[in-house]
Amino acid sequence: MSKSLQNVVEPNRLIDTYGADAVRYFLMREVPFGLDGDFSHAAMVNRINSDLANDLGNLFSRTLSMVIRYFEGTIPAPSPPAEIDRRFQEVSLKVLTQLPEQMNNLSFHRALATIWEMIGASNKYVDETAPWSLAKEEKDRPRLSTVLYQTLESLRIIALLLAPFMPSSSEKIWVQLGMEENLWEQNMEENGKWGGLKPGKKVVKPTPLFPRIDTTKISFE
Amino acid sequence: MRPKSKGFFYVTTPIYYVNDVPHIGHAYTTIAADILTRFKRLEGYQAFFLTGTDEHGQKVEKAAQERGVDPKAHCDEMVKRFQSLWQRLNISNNDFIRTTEPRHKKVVQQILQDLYDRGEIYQDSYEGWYCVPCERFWTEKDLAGGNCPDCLREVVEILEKNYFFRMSKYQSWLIEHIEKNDRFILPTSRRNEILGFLHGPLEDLCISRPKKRLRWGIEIPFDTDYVTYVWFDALINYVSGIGYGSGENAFSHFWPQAIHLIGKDILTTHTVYWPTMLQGIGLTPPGMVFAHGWWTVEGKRCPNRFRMWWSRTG
Ligand SMILES: [Zn+2]
Repeated sequence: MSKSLQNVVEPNRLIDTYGADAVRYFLMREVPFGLDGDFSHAAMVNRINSDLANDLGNLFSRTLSMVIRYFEGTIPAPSPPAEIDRRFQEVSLKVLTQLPEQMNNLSFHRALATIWEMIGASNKYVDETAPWSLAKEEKDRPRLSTVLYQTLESLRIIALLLAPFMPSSSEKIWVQLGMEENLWEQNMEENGKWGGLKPGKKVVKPTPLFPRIDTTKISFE
Repeated sequence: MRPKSKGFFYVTTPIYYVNDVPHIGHAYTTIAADILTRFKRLEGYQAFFLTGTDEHGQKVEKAAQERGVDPKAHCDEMVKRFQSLWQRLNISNNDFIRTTEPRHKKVVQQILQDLYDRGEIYQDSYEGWYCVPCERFWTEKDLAGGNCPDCLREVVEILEKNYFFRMSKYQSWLIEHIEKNDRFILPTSRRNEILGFLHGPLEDLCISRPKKRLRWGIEIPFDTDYVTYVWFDALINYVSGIGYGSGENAFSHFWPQAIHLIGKDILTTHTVYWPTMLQGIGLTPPGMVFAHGWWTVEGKRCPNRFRMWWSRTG
């Protein structure tokens, strides 16, 4: 391998370009631990733009923006759950049962795929419940509260499960959700249970977690 | 409030060769170890994560000489590249061990003396070939077309007295241990590879280097004309780093849970040399050795030199 090719994957340079959490995520997500893998900037950018910016980043920013817009940033109290809400809660339960086994087998890429199932389910839940429509009618207010509470709560659990993989981004999510407890003093089994988010607390105006990378603006040689 | 501890957990990375430029391969192992540790901590385990640097050997000595500095001063400077990278990557290791530290040297010498006193180490004449860049001995049958099988460079013939660890006598014990514990070597393909390797006879392990050839190493306590073979020195970090021989409880808590994450290039040292050494010392083998794969970059296979991020030998 040429010297220049070595330089472009120098870890400090990767961190400068993509950030530490994105590098951690890519290396663990791209290849099953135990098999050989290929590093390419195109694959890295693709992971950042689709998994991090699109799936996780959007879920986070659109949810928080709605809480700020519709509830002045105060976490609403949920009403009794409907069928769709209960099904959504079950996803987190499933993820929480699968994760320890996957981690015991050092199957990092599976563990991340499992967490992303939950992120996918959350995005789908928001799309299906359409809180922006609920916000139009005063009579839908209780329903709007439930939907946004549920989405915020899923983000809290996602931050907890993702914390080992992406420590600084998870902490950012955690804190902006108004969580005052130290993330690193949580217990996954206890605090991964549904309902840990406290209504009445204030969320913080979201800062972009993973800005999309414009491939035309990055050069590596 | 954190509930009562679920138990102990101990994970390690290889100690990286201090002369190396930190690479994506180093980062890969270390990130994996960090994620595992953080996960276990959040599960309620008391988890200990050890990484560090391997600082002895000819290449360090030579690099220091070329710069006109003392080898230790050279290491002190080089080690910062690893330590600062781990900081930037948010690595939460509990300790960082350097093989030039007195706490490590003391344990290596204590183990050598103990093995020697109990006849596990003996002196014999060594005949064979030596690869200077790899700092590694080879027998006639190891050579690839008369050259080093690892780097394909020229080797020099060597005849000298050296010290040997009776590794051969642990061969059948090791095979049985691997067969009985299907999570001792992972992934399974690596386990099969080692079981295949153990079909052939296991030789005793040369664990010394005469000082006339190498001075930058840990002195052998019972013969000061020699220093310790770098691998014998390096592997011991996994126990010296958690206080073996110091009488502290930490060692007895953490050692039985040990998980070594390694690159597949250092599989033999970790699944053959290391468990037999531990058996000789009277310690149990680590719970798991997991060998991960290699990274290519933009589809290009890395040449040998580039592949050896994790270690100086194959
Ligand atoms: Zn060689």
